[in-house]
Amino acid sequence: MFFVCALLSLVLFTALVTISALGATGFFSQTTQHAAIQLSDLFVTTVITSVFALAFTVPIGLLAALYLSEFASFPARKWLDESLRFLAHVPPIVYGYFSVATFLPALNKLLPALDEHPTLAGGIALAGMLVPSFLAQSRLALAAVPQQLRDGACALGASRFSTAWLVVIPAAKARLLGALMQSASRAFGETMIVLVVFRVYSSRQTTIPETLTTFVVPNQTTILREFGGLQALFSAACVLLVLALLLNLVRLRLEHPARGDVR
Amino acid sequence: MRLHHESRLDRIFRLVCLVAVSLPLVFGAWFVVDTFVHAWPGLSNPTLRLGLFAAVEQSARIVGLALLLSFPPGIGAAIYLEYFASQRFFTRLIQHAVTSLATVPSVLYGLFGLALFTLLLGIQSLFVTTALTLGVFLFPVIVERSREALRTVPASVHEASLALGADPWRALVHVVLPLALPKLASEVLLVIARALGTVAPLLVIERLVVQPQVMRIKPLATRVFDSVADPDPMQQTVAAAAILTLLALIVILHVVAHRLAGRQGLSERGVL
Repeated sequence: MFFVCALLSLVLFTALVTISALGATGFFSQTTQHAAIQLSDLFVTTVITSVFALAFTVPIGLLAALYLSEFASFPARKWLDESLRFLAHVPPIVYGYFSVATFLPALNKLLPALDEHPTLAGGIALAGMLVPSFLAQSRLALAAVPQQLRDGACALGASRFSTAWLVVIPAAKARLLGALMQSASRAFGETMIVLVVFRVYSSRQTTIPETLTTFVVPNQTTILREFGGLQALFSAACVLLVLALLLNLVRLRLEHPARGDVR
Repeated sequence: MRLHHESRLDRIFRLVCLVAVSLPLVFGAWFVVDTFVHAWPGLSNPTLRLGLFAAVEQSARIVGLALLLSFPPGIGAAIYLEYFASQRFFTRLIQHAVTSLATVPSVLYGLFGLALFTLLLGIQSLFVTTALTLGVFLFPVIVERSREALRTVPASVHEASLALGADPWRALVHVVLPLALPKLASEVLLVIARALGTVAPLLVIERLVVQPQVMRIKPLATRVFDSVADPDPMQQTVAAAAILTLLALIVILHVVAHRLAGRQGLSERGVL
């Protein structure tokens, strides 16, 4: 009985892959016309937005995790951990709303060019959501570094900075990279924040950019029978699926290195 | 006692780290306060309150049906992976399927659900399709979280019950599950919180309807999106009120889950 339940995960996974592939080859499309889309454009926008997001997320998240694991006192650490963990669980739509309603307009006053660069705005909004989860995971990675290594560095006369930079981070490297991969796959797959920023905040632009994920959500309610572009949606979905699975594979490889890779 | 000698570089480093840790906190505090300020005028409006209440009710129905469908197989799969699986090729395959499903972006579940339930199986009701899709989306999350809950029961307790002659089924039902129950319940609440905040798959299904039919009452998740995306300034108050409702529900679920998980450790109940 339990085996059947476990089998269900395999069945769902196969169904997901098959249906995406079938959809991409036009199985569900009623019309034969091909919607003109540029998958490569969508892909490039996705990558640019994610790179912006990660460029903000990684330094902030890593330094904050270092503060928590190397500097903060025990009560402060406990309190900070709790509140940051809650932030990591806030749903994306909340971050999206806040970015559009308050955060990006406020930032725009400091950085007037933000209006003309929707991908940058989307990236910054994404970073707001990614920082807490990346931080939580880097925190775990740094906490897994044995205290003896820090004590050893201290005994050899290393300063705090060199201990963190030359001892703690290299020791946690594999898990930090794993956290990075997970953040990257969340950035690629995130829909709501990017959607809200592109469609609401940047709606005054002449051409609103689309990422792979926002492309899947049509602008208005569309009746499927008249919709020839379902194939295009599934093609975008296929690219996303492949990306997500690849990143997952890399992450698994980093976290559980094959025998012989162990340093 | 401070063992490290703090140089100027160290002080700068500490300061930079402190700034980095305060950024997300300031951001979080800012959005909570800001949402409150924007939502306040809306919450005193009785029609809006009624609308939000209906949305929450609809959300509860959808999430309830989704959980009803995906919780039993989810925990079944978790029990299989934790207690019955041997380290064979096939088990590893199942594990990989679960982690892969968990990393697939949530929008894809919207398209998947639409294709499978509406186009292939021919389910006409938007409500049922939405709930089924959400159920599929939650399945890998439930498997992973239930496994974590089961892992809090020490293997020695399970082995002891087996050694005393309990068959695997009794060991599971009478020993492992009761001990894992508080943690399991807390994980379920977290899954509910996650489900309430999931918008993307619901939005895809709502936007790509097969027939000109719409759900009469929208769930909270898509209602939030609709009002956020509405250019009408009046809707901004509605958006803030809806966001605040969502946030409040999630905070409550998290607090209760935290209490449940923290309350009954094995050692406190005299088991270990």
